[in-house]
Amino acid sequence: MDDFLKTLKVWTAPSPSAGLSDRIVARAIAKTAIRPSMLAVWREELTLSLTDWRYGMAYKAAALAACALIGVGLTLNLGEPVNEDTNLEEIAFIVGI
Amino acid sequence: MLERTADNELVRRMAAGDTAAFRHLVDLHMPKAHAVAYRVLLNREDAEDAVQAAFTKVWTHAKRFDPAKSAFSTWLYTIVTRTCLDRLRRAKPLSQPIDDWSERLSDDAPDAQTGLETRQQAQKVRDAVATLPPNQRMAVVLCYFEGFSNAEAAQSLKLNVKALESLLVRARKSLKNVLGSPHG
Repeated sequence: MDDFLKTLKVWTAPSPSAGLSDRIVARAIAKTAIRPSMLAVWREELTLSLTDWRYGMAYKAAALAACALIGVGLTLNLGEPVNEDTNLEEIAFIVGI
Repeated sequence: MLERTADNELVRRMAAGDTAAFRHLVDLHMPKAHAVAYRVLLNREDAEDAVQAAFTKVWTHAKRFDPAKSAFSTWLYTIVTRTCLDRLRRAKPLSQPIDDWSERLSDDAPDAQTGLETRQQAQKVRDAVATLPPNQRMAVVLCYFEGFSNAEAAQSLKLNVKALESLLVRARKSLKNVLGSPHG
């Protein structure tokens, strides 16, 4: 252990107060062991991802990449005329003009 | 490994509603969880509330634990870590109540002078840790105070090992600045 860690270890944590285990168990089992609903799970995940920027970093990066890809794709395609090869005579025949 | 198997068996029983198994898990892991929470929240009352909330979550979410993904202790400290960080972000921690220090004062010391110096040094370390941002503080507590490996701490903090190491480097630098060199 280096000197730095020895210095830190001078600060000791107090023992938990007497009866804390009993209180924890009593309060916890007052709640039924339930599987949380998917909505609750999603809400929790969303809260975490919004409050902690590192949480779910892989998903955030993937979402950003997907948005960039869609943006680039739209930008390239929006410039092109849609009806460039449309045969107006054929359309007129179909419509019956 | 044996400990991990025993924990997994206890969690399996707890998920089936066995309160004795839950009680056993609390007895096994609560002191260390409390020490982590105390060092991060810097307040005994908040630490006990956080540990209470974390174990309640362990009980209610027991069926979500997957032993194939991680050890129970890693899952538990992920919950403890999130609970503490949430509390840190929501409210500014209060200054340490006087009873925490009165407890320290009642400790047996070899002699009064040594005891006083130790307490002053401990207060200095506590104040230095208190200046760290939440994530750095949590990394320091897990790795330096509680002896977690970098991989275990990274998993509990949902970070990769490199990101954790970067937190530790920055925290160590800040702490050294505040505490100064032990020999200088």
